Amino acid sequence: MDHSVQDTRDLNITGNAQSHGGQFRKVRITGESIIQGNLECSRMRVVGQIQVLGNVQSDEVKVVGQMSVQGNCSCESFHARGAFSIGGLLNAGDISVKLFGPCEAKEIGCEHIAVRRTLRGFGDHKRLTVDVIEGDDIHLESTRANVVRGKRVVIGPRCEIGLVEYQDEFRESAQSHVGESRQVR
Amino acid sequence: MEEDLISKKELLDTTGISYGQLYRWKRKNLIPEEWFIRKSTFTGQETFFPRREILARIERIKDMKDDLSLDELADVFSPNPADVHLSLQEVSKRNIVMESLLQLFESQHGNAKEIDFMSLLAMYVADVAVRTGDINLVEARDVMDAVETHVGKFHGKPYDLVFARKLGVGVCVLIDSSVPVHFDPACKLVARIPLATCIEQLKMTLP
Repeated sequence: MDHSVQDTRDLNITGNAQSHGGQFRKVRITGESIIQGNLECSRMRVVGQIQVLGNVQSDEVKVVGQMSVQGNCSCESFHARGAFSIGGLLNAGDISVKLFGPCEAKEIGCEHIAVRRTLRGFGDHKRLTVDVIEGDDIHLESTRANVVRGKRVVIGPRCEIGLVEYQDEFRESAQSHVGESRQVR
Repeated sequence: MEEDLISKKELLDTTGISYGQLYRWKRKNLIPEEWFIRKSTFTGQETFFPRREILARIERIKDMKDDLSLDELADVFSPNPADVHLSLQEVSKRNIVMESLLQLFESQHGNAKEIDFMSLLAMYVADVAVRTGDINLVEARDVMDAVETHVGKFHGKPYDLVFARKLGVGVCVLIDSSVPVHFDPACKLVARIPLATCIEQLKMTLP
């Protein structure tokens, strides 16, 4: 996608602002903002809060704080510290999430995903809720999912998973609950 | 249209690719969004694909991914026209379409120096139809005209060329690939050619 965004500009928001979205090179948001459409960029960094009323497509997404996307989010790397909510599919090469608040997505498809809980404070709300997770390398903590499918699946503490389908490897923490697990192929 | 579908699980099983690869190719637009068909099953929602198309596409990707980068592959599969201009001599030298169609094109456009992708595609589609023996050279002119006039309006959406004949008179229609066509009994469907496949094949023959 690099060739399509090379003539475009950066989007920098510090404070509080809205944008119609579109194509950008780098997007950097410090503060709070609402994007009233699709956002396409090569790099996106959010410190604070962002709400996108469309889809997000980027090479790199980094969020410290909160992000909500109404549509799908597609990127090569997705790093979040905080909370997020994605209405559709989160499709990324590498996903790493540090749970500081409620995180949710309808579906997650990826190569690697690592979800880590945080130990500070209380909170049953600090968990990832998702219908289906599919990927190659999956490591989950504090996650509630109906189905998890992957090559190598590690279910860490405090998860509630309905069904795990794995190819090569499966490990499960004693502090988690997995309804059913089966090896496929 | 009741299509032959393949579930995601079966797809990964038969092709030997992983979830990660499938999602990666989807991100890179190697597999079009329209092929991901969601359906409710007794285990919840599942994703299905049109069997023939997806299996062919994955074989192609597996064949070519060692030689081309994923971005280059995406260009090959994209239904958008390539940015090429060839001279008539080059087209005939590369043997992209049969000589008689090239002459037909020449006779219609005078001596156009350069042929752009749209015109080339029009000739290529006509070429495919003529080679299978479905249509004759006179009808090929209609096909070329139809494709050339309308292909610019499709904006990357998949279209098919439908050629039908009634009482010996041929007519050609360009129609969205996902839409079925029904004719009266006296009318015979002669050919239905997906333009996306033609575009893909044509791009492979170009520099």
